[in-house]
Amino acid sequence: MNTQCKEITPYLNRYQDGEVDEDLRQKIQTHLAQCPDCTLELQLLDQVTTVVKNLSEIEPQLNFTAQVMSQIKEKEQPRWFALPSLPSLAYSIVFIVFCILGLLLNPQMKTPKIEAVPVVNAADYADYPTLLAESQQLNLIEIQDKTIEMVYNGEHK
Amino acid sequence: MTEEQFEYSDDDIVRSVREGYTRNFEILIDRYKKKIVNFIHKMISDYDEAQSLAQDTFIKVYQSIPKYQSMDNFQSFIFTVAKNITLNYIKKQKRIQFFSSFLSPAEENKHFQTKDTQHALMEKKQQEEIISTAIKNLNENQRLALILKVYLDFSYQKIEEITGWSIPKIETLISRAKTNLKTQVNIMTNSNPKEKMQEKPSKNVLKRRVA
Repeated sequence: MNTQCKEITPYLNRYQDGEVDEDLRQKIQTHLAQCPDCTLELQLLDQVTTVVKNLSEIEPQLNFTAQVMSQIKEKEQPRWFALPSLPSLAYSIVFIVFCILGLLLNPQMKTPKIEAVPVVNAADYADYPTLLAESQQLNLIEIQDKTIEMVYNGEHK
Repeated sequence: MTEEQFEYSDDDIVRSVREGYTRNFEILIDRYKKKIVNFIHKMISDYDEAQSLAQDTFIKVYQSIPKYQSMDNFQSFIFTVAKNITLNYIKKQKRIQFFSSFLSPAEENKHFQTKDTQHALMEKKQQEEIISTAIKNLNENQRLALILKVYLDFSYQKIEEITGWSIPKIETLISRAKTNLKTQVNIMTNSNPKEKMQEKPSKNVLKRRVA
């Protein structure tokens, strides 16, 4: 193999594939005309491509187009009662689990401590019925004497 | 396929399908089904699976029509979908073969010899068998590049669009695939051209190339 062969050989495949520019194509052709080794190499490549090109072909099934079209139609119809596909179901479950974990681990979402509310006797604050009612509404106090409280609210019968 | 259909470009048909003329998609199926079926068949060597994966390809293409840009080349687009579906199938098959080899190593050969190869053994020429097996034994990237270039006669640029590989990578893969097949082709043709060449240089070839 001479220097020119070394230069040409790497491009033989490209040349055979028709992927060289005009200058290189002419250079290769000139070299091939005088180099039996490179011509042989190209001949071998030609044999390979011929064999691959001549591999017998198969025919699509007779009802190929109809089958594809019917599958397309089937997939286009809305399926209201269909279960979600397994991956999307899995993703949903993972998402829900994360949401729950997030809620549980979030310190701000912890249930507030129930502090002891002072217990008062309604009779002691009989002069301030509005204050008493409001305080109770805001959970600031707990009224011991329900009967009296209800009288204040005007509900006692 | 009627002659009228040839008047419409792929993009014209895609546009009409997008506008609601779903049945026009049949024209695209008829236009590409043979090439797609054969492309997949040459990749996986399984007749039934090739038909089924080709159908999946068209369904996927139909579903992707809203996303398809008319600037893209429809042929590249459809072959990209076919390539993805085929490579996913090959990956899945490899996984199945890997696990089944653990479960029942004795059945490994059975699994490899699909219905199609059994059928082929009887019907196809011996030559074709050898070369098919040789193609099957290439790694899938080499096989893909070779089929796109040699069987489908796509340019490197189109192969780049379909596979996303760089042109030097495509060139290397095709070159390696051809080199790997050379030995098989030599055995198949049962003649060593090197010997022939030493005896008498092939002048016909020289003439053809110079011309």
